[in-house]
Amino acid sequence: MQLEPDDQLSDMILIQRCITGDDESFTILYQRYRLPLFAYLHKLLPNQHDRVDDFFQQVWIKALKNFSGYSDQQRFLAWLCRIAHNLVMDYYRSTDSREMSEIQENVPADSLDPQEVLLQQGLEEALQQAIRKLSPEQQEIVRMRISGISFKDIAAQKNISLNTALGRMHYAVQNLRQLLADFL
Amino acid sequence: MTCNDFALECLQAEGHLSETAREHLQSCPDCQAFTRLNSILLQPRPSPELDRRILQIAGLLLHHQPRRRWWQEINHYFYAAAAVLLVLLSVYALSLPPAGGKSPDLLAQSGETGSATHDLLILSYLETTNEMDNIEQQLYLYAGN
Ligand SMILES: [Zn+2]
Repeated sequence: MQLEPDDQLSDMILIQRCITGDDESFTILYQRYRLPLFAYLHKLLPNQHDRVDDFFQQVWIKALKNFSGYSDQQRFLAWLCRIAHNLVMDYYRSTDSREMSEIQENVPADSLDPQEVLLQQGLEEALQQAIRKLSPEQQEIVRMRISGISFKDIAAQKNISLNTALGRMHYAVQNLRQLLADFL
Repeated sequence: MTCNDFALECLQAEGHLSETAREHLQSCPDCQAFTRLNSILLQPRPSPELDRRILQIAGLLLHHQPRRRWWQEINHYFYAAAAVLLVLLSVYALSLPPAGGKSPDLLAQSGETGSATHDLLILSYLETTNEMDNIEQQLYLYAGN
């Protein structure tokens, strides 16, 4: 009998393993859904990066504490997004914000289909591997851009000209394109 | 516009491309792939620090889930066995005839005996007492040597 690799296990099996205290299973679930959940929170809380980080953490903690209440009648991502939605709505209610009604209308709690999530996850893993294959200078600039630092700030921090920073990034993206040819 | 010009504009654009760049993009598959990859790179993702923190919290929460210990797992069997034993002892105690307050020694000496079960009980008691006396005597002898 061939055992299924852990990262191909269903969400429900991983959740059941989490309930028994298996944190490896949680890591797989987390890697599977961190990006779509993070993107969803960015839609709920536009231009509020620090708050997104805070809610992102809260959602996972709440999910962890309520795993026993999850049933596979609902997709796990939809369940996570529902938790996120409720937490953010509570926050908007407490601050009497007008943005709440706009968000309720415009951002459905279940906006990504599972196929898209899997593709995104595969691409993300391949992207991280590809970045590690770049030269140290290119890796550094890509990581700085990924963390949201502007070219102007990168140039200032690395003591290089703006054109040098742009040129390095340009070559980095070209190299990544070749490394990720199967995904793009 | 060349692909190089487009790439430089695309890298700096915050989602807004010039008319010329948009026209180039529509007709150039290479620049479409470049744009796609650039937007993937720039999509919001949790920082490594945030990832680490959440996985750390998860580890703590998952390891502190209230789990049933082995004695909690077996305690209901233990209580059931204790209850059965108690009932059996009660039935046995009720089935014994009253001893009249005399010790088994006295009963044996006086020849007052009851049922066959009762006689066996007294006999076993006396045998045990004799064995204990023998053991005590042996220990005394060992100590003496
Ligand atoms: Zn082009």
